Amino acid sequence: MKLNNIIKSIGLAILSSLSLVSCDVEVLPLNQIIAQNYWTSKADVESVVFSCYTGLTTSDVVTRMIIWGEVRSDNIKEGQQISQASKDLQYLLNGNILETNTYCDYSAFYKLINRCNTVELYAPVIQERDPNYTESDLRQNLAEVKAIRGLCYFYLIRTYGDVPFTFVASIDDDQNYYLPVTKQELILDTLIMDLEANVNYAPKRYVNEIENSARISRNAINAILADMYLWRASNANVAPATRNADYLKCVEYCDKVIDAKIAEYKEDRYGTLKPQVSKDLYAKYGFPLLEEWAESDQTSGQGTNAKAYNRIFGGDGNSFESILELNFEEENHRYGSSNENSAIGSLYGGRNSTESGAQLAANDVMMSQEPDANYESNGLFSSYDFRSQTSFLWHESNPYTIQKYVVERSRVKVGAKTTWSVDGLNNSARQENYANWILYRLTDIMLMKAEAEVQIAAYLDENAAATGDEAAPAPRRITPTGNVYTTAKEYYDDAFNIVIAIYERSAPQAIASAKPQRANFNIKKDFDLLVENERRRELLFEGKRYFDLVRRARREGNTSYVSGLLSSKFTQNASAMRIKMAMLEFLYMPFYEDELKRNPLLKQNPAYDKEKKNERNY
Amino acid sequence: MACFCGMAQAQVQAGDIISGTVSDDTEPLMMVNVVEIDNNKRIVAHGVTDINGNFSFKVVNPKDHIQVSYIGYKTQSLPINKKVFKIVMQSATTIQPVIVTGVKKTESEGLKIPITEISTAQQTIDMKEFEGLAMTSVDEALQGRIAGLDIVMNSGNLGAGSTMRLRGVGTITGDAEPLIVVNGNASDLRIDMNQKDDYNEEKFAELLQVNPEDIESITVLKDAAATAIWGSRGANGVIEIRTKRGQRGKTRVTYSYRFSGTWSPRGMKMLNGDDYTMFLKEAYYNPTLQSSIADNTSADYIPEINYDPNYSQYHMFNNNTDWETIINQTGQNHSHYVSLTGGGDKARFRVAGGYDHQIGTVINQKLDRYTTRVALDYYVSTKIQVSTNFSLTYTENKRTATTSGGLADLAYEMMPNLAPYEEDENENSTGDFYIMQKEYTSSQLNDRLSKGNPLAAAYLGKRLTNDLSLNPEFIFRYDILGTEPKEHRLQYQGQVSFSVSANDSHNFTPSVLQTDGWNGSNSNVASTSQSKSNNFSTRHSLTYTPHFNNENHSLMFMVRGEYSTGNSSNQSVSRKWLPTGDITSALAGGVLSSANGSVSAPSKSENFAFQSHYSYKGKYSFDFTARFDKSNGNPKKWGAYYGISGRWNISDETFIKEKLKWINMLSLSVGWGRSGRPSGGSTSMYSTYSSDGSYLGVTAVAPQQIRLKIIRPANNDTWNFGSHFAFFRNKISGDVQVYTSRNEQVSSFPIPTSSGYSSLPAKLQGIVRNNGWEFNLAVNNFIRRGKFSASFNMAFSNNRNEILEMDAMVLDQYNAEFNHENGQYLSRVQIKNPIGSIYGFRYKGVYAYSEWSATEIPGVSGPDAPVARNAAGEVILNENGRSKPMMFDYGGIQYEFKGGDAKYEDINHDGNINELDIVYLGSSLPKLTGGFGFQINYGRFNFNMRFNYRIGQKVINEARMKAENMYDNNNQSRAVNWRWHNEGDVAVIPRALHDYGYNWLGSDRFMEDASFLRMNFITMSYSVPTKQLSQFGIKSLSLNLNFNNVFVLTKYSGADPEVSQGGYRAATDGGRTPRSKQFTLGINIGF
Repeated sequence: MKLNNIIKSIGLAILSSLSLVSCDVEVLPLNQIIAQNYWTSKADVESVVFSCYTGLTTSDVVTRMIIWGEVRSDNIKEGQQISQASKDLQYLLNGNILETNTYCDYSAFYKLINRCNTVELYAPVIQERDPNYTESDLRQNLAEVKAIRGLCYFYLIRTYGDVPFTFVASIDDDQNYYLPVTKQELILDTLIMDLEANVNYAPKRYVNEIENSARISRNAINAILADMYLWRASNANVAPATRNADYLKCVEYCDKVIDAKIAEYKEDRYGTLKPQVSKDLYAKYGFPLLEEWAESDQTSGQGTNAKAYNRIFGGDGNSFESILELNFEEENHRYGSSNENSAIGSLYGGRNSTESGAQLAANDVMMSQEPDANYESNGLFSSYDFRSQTSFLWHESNPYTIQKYVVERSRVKVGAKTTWSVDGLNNSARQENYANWILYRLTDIMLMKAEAEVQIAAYLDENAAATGDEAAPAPRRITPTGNVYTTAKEYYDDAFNIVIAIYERSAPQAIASAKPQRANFNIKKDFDLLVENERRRELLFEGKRYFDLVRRARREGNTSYVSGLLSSKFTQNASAMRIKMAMLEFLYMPFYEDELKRNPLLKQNPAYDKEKKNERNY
Repeated sequence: MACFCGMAQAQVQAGDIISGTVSDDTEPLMMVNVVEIDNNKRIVAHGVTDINGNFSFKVVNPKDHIQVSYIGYKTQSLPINKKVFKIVMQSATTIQPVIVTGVKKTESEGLKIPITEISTAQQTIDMKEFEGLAMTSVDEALQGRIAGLDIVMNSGNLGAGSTMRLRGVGTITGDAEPLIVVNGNASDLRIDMNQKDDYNEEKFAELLQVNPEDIESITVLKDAAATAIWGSRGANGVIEIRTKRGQRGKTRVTYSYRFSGTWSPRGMKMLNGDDYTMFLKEAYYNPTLQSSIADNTSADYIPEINYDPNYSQYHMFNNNTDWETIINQTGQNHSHYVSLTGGGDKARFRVAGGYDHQIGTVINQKLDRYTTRVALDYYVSTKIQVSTNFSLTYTENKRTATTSGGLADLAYEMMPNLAPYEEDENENSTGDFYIMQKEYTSSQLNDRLSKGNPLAAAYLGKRLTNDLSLNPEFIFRYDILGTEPKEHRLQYQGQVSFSVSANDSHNFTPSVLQTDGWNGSNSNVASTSQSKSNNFSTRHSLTYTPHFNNENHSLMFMVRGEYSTGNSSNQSVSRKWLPTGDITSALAGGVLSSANGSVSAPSKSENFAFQSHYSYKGKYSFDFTARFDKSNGNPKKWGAYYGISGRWNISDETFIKEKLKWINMLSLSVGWGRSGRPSGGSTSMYSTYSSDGSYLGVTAVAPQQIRLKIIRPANNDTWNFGSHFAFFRNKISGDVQVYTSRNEQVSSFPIPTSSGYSSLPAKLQGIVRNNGWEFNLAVNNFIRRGKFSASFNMAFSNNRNEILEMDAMVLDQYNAEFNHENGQYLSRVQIKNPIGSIYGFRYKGVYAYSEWSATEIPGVSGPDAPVARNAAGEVILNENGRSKPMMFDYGGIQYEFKGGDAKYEDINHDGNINELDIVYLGSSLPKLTGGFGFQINYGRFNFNMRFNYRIGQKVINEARMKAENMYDNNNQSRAVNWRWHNEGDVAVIPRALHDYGYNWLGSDRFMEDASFLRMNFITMSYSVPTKQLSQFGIKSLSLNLNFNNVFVLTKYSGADPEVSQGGYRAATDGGRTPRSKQFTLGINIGF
């Protein structure tokens, strides 16, 4: 055969055989949704936005909110049912915080942050693809995810101080995932800017009543902003005038929330608020607070319903006072698609564990003996204050069992002088763990405002003393009646007004000696304690106390006051703990050991940096 | 030879009828085939001679030839140049002498290269070598036969399979099993890294379920120059299995039957009931120094171990039960195999079927396997061939249901004073299995409840799996150009293969095995799961062999393209609370506890391969291979793999050929190659989303993973140097190979969680190097006297594994901190150390005394006491002359060692046993592996024996650890009778401490040298002389007797020193069912 023919036939054969097998190997997975097929419609965006909420409701996140904000504080000690398995919890309660402790693991929060970043990346694209997805839909979704992201970072900086910070979604393996920490001040500035730019895109009111507190609303963002300003202002290293400006911003955002709530109450769209809110308190102090006590009859040994508690924490939640809370639903937990608040169940107790106790219990220093009729004379509570009864049990055999969130329907009795009978009170625990977890509610906002006002007042005092009439802050409208305050005394008065309003709501029948008296509060120290204790009583077990303490230590630039409080819970080596806590950084959590291994740019908090490791022999 | 009739002929036209006669020298021949064949030797027309030798048929094309053939005569071919033929046939018995020169060629996939020109490292075993050997899968025969292939049998359980490592372990986290290729079809089991979890040794065992009788030969490709042709899947080496095909000739039928008796060697000797209760009492007494468990007024009283006749279950707890004997039995294997083979010029066939029935050495285990394989070859013409292959394997494996581990493990743990069957007052068995009930059981023995009763588990529970696999295949071959050696040859081969496999399993756990009552979540649970997968692939190759006028040159090329696609799915249903223990199907009611189903992403891949071979005079050979791979695991990139190698046959040089005639072969070869290991699964290239619960009734969808953009498959680069030799008329032959391979590591990679994810699905992260050498030697007929002859072969190899590079972050992930718990060995991956290193404490025996004194005060104190000592071994004393106690001090736990406690070496002399005293103890990789065998023939008798060995590997004997720790209620081995009891005892075993102390920290106490030499099998076979058989119509008959696993020489104390090592962890022997011993009687009959 001729060479030409050979070459031709070979060439032909090669071509034909190659063309037979040259097919496209790209196939898309059948069992998963992939990005290039997703992100086409409005519903796709909303589904991912909702994954930011489901992320918040995971047990990993809620557990850490409780542990970081509450368990480390002086409100909590070891409960009777603390299991041997939860050694990490015990170490935390003993102040023995090691970097191997799983509660140092912050990955659940970053997972959530990444979801928010992902929405921010893709949502604008959908606008071009789906005409139903309007500009305002987009802006609302962005405001929601930015708020959730801001909240997550805010938890992180309050817990760890400086943390890795990014707004970039993690998509491909060629991105840089090794981030050093960013200064918390810088993170906070960025978050505040981000939220302030978007707060007005968040809906003022949702159509569905529940969503007003279950989703991010304008009130919720204002609340987060108020909290962030309060935190930013509490920085001892910043000039007093700058801090004061932040306190004023805090007051401003608190007022936005409070005013919105007042407007809502006045409007009373569904006619349900007027019967719930205490008219007396509103008339007296100008705050639309839910009424705790409706019936005057206390002859029955069973006590009466704690109405405000039951509305706020019991039942279905989402009360009028709620600004932002995570919703949990009862259904479907049998089939694994549980939306259960298992964090509450395992830490505070659940499923009929009102009496037997749980892993955690209330610290006894809050009420080491029976309360009496005098304000804070026998611990934190007076005998008129129902919050001691709705928050925990004080019972001879099983003292200090946590009740808040655990109990679905609470009953209270005034001025009980003897040990309360658990049975007599007839509290009913939830059958399942579906208590909502409240992130912000009205009294929290009010007390933030009070705290900021005390600081403003003190600043005015100091400045008046030092330089006469120099740099008085811009006048603020403080009350619904439109009063304008310019002096320290007026700010103090208003702070006191807030505290007494909240106090009287929960101790409506209190005699004069059981209430704080304005005359007893004169200097900043008194007011600091007044507001701090009221916050503690009101927001007991709500994941706020520890952050309040850290904020105070930051404001004071030292831990002497806070460490005194915290060491009260340590039965053993309390003095050693005090020495440890002298370092402000110790109030933060260490980075998780595993994360330090993954990220060489991450440097451990100096308070936890272990001494040089000993020589290994392998 | 043809005779022409000298008549003038008109030109023959198409359609004309030609006729003629056929005869031999004397008479006309009847029934002779006369056919017209075309250029391609295809039959186009056909006629047969009648009784007078006449034939006639219609011509299709006058340019064709007619061909005349008849048995016993030479076939003739004539041009069609006339209409009437007179043909005289010539007897075939008077043929001229013919000299045939054949060259033995490899039957490897790809080019058929003469064996003496192979320049890569590969070894081929002809299965004839193993004829008469009783084995259920080929790995049993290959053990110790191939240098560099380390095969470890997983356990004696039926269908448990083996672990294979070719030239060491090249991957820390991935699958390290070699690729199994049957007739050119690679198994597609492990293409998807994300589905790695589905993969296990049993699955790998299924791959090898080609009936050994069907196998013609096995080729093991060792170096990357050889495996480069398998591209991204060749990094672990390749085992190519070639099955038998039909042979020309009369149809032959063979039948063989084998019967085996199997039994399990006894492992540890365990305590009897009396010794057990004694030990348990001591174990409870020692930590507290209170004997409340023997005090029937105490709340801690344990009546079960106190022989208390007042205890309601007294009769159940006063026995001496040997649980191991109860669950073991003599197993049986029956194996039947039939094959039919035959064929002629046009078609050849081979049909074979086998049935194995195995009964295990542990009660109630059964395995049935049916295999069938059909191979058909049809030669349409000399240029066109069509073949089809079909194979089917069906396996039904019935195992025993246990809550955890196997039945053998459970037997070790059972209380020996417990009765297996319920007993009445007179201690007579009622025949019901006895199961401890919670209400009668002491709280300390609650852990016993979950153990159940091994007998009940075996007989009442169910673990049934069925596997079916089908592999049809169609092949078309066409010689486009010439077919003769002196022509340019171009062959096209197209192939379409399917493989379908289905697997289902049925499990049932009866409520009697559970302790949480009828409504417990594990009561009467039945589950059914099914999975199926199918795969399609098509392969097209062109092989071109040009012809050179200068015949010193020879050259071959091949190009091949392959495309394959497959998908798999699985579903499972589990139901609890079935109404009775008799209904054991998940489809028969009960409460649904789970139902799952999944479809995995279809896999698609394509590749192109190029292979070439050049040789000059057969003396200098040169090979080049290239392969390009793309799969939907990495759709954007082509992976490129190359192999380049050369060989110089020194023995063909004249100076050797003429002067050193005793050298038949001496060659040097060198090769470099790159093969790969897949990274990333089929979905890792995408950002995936899946549903994530719901909030306010709205279903949420969340992103799941980071998508991979920069990943590529991991490479394995190997340099190989080899030498083949054969001396004294090939009496001694063999080869030596030396290699070094660099294996890139790929697996999921931890990233900071601040990214929102914990890891990248895959990333290249380090390099593991394997250096080693192999040696193969065969001595053929080294003795030959009359009827007696003997041959010998051996193979051994050495491999040194070293982690060269590893990302520091990945290392940190592997290297967890010591968790300060008993029984834990630190798992570490350390650069410059091999994979599978063992780290732990050094065990130094048992402290005789609690209190220290420089001289012994018998029964009170002595020098052998737990006190801190300095580097010189002197006791450290404080200013008051007091010694410092030895502590186990960690995180608030301060344990002071006492007399009778385990003594660990305090490496840093700080008086504290902690992680700083952990040292490198040894490696679980063997230093030398291999085997040797003898074949002895004496007339019609044939003896074949084979040994294999592994030397130098260390194994953690976890079974012994559990049987000597005296830490829980499990039964212990008899060694604990030599434990420490009282102050001053010099003991080898520490004191019994129930749930207390640190007597069994991970130390070299439980690390053993598992070197062994095993006589793997000895086969004796006898073939009956054919003369005596022909009267029965039998062509051949042979009888054979086999002994498998005859003996093991080892110092290892566990049941079986063959322990495999996986991933980066140390080889750990968890007390598996040891490999059974067996004898087999077999018979082969040919018809």
